[in-house]
Amino acid sequence: METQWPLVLFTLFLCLSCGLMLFQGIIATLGKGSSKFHQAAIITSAVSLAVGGIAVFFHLKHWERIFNGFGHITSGITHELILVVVMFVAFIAGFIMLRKGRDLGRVMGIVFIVIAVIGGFVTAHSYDMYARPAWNNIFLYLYYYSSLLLLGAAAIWTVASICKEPAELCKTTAWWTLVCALLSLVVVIAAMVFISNITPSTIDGITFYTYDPTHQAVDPSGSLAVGMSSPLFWLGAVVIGCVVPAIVAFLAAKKSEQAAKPALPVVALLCGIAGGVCYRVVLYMVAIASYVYFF
Amino acid sequence: MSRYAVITDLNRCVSCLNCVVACKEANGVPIGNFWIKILRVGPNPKYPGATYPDVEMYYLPVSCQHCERPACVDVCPTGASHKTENGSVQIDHDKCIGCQFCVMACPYGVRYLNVEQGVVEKCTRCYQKTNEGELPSCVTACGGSARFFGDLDAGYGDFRSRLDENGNNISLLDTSYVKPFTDDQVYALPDSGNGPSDRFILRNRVWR
Repeated sequence: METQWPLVLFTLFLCLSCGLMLFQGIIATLGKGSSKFHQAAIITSAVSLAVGGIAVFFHLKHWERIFNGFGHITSGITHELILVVVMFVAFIAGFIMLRKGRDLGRVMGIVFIVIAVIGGFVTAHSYDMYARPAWNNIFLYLYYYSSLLLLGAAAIWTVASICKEPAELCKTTAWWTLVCALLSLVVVIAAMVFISNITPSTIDGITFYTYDPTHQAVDPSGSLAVGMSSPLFWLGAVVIGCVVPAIVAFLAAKKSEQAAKPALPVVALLCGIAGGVCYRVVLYMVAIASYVYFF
Repeated sequence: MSRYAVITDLNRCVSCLNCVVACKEANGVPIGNFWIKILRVGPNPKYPGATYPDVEMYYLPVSCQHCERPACVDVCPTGASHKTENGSVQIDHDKCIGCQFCVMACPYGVRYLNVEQGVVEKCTRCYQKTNEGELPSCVTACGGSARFFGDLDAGYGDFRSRLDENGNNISLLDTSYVKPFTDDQVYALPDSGNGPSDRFILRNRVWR
């Protein structure tokens, strides 16, 4: 299927925003982080959500009818719209608390965590449709959660280092980034193996193809592993998107002074974003209809 | 609630494309968009290992299947895609925001974005005609009299095609036009739980 760039950016920045929310919630629940840090995290998360929201407007042909989007509760887009509103309400509530000199506290931290976890599910669920076998499986959910975790961990590490939080907190967030990058690496490779091995019987006897109709996505060689999509997958999603953030986070996690400087977390975040874009584009490349009647 | 459907006798379809042209003319379908398309299935070997001339083929007209549980309706965020009282799936242009999730969710690939109007469109089964008791254009224009329109709940006897020389609609059960068929010769497109409503009659061929 043709890449829908606005949706690529929307899911990317939604995952970034939810991920930031998740790790900020964890830090708030642990009673850590200065007010300045938490305010900066909320602003970063809100800006990320706004950028994603603006991107999605470019996808809609009638954006002026956007409020119609609340009109059908079974729709994934309706769920996403509700999620975005709930997230902004939580951001405003948290920001006001901080501006009044109060801590976010355990309750608000848990609220942030719950919203972020639901956000990951909602993002994946919107694209879970049986017409697209490459999306209609558990790996879509696992990927969006792994993306949320990696982007969120790298972003909260970045915010912590820029806000000059204690080295211990920066080091902790570097460890989180390392674990999330490795988790993301496992998920994208497992997803590649699964998608490359979707057999015709899984999709009711109809062979499904990549964007090149002469090459089956289900052929034993696996188009994601060695086919036309492989550079984008291996170099983009795996090396830049997972391995580089993992290496960077590992280097920082070993030394507190490195973790406290913004350079390494910024590299991890940018690579995570680039990898996220690459994998989302791959998801569109393999998203062929269940019953391929026409090309 | 009725279950209006189109039944196509594939043994009569000659791929004349009259249905495609009539659909375009009746509904103003934009260039590049097709609310009905004809797929050639075959030539395929009649039995494993068979070669020419032991081959067979047929033509398969594919359009919106007006499913019982349409995925396009489930994913539509605005309610623009909806089921009507006669069982057909329609799109309210004034509600559509052009998000195209219905295009992604349709397993048959029969929905198109009307770029000029910024809304998604597909076969309406000529709602403007069938609502007034007329037949869809693809049915009346069918060069092989292969397509029949009717209510599945009312049985095959309710399905009608173009007018015969006496000015009466041809019935699907009129054996002077339509060769007899059995229930096991009536097929539907693959079902993923959506329940496609259109039916296809195919005799002496393997449904593929």
